[in-house]
Amino acid sequence: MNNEMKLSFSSYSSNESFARATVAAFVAQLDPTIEELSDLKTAVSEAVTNCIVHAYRDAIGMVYITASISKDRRITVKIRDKGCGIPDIAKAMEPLFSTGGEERAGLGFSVMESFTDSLRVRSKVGQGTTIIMHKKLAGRLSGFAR
Amino acid sequence: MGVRFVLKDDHLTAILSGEIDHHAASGMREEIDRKAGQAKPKLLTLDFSQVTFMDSSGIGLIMGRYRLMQALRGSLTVLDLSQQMKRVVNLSGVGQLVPLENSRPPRKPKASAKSKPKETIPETVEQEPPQPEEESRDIYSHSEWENQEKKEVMVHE
Repeated sequence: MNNEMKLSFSSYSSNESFARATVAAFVAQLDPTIEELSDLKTAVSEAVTNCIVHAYRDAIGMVYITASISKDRRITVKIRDKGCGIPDIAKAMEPLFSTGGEERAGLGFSVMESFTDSLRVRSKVGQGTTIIMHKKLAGRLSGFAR
Repeated sequence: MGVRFVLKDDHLTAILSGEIDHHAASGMREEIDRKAGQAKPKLLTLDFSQVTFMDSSGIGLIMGRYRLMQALRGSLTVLDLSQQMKRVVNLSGVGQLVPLENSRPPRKPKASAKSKPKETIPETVEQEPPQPEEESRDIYSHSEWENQEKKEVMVHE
């Protein structure tokens, strides 16, 4: 069975660093490189920011993160909200498209895509959005449990 | 965490520190805009040398200050983005609008081999032997250190 952790927190922007640091701390047991860890933190930060800025735009709701790691060093991070949902996922994922005002670059999904191995987005308007990201860490000579 | 300012003639430098995400960026933006609004510099430099993390909020921060400096008829430069931050910034076109500068050679010997124009050490030194540069990075017990020699090579990949 995979090694899994779950985390839920209110969508205050002050929790963004808590969320990515917690996922990073969980994954640290795989002894990732500094680059791998920073890639993952960046991707998680983007997904959590989307929940805070978009899903719960005018409210505070809960953000749910499930992270799991496997013996072959695959990381899966699922980030879910029960917010407004995305009417047009393809449009939302276009680089530079943003509904978040001019201080938002519209590159959240681009960062998630380029800093992980795969990205899946499921969304229903009025019900919420789930982001699933996979990342495989490079091999190490000694393995799983240190 | 936050912003420190150095103002020299018409050149304002904003030294950012800590992590730049959506939460932190909004406070930094306000501080920089207030200071730049008062000082009306010809040149604004955003110094990232003390930033430890940045997501795409950093792009918004740079883009917004670029527009601000255009409105003030000045210019903007960005100093000392780390490799990770450069990868984020390169997803946008902002590097075409704003010069991305480095005040010191990159930390890793691999990258610095290219960008040391004034290097006077003989060429043989640049062969990059696997150096134990990451010794501070973690927490192996002593017994594990003894088996580390092979892994040191992999650390650089």
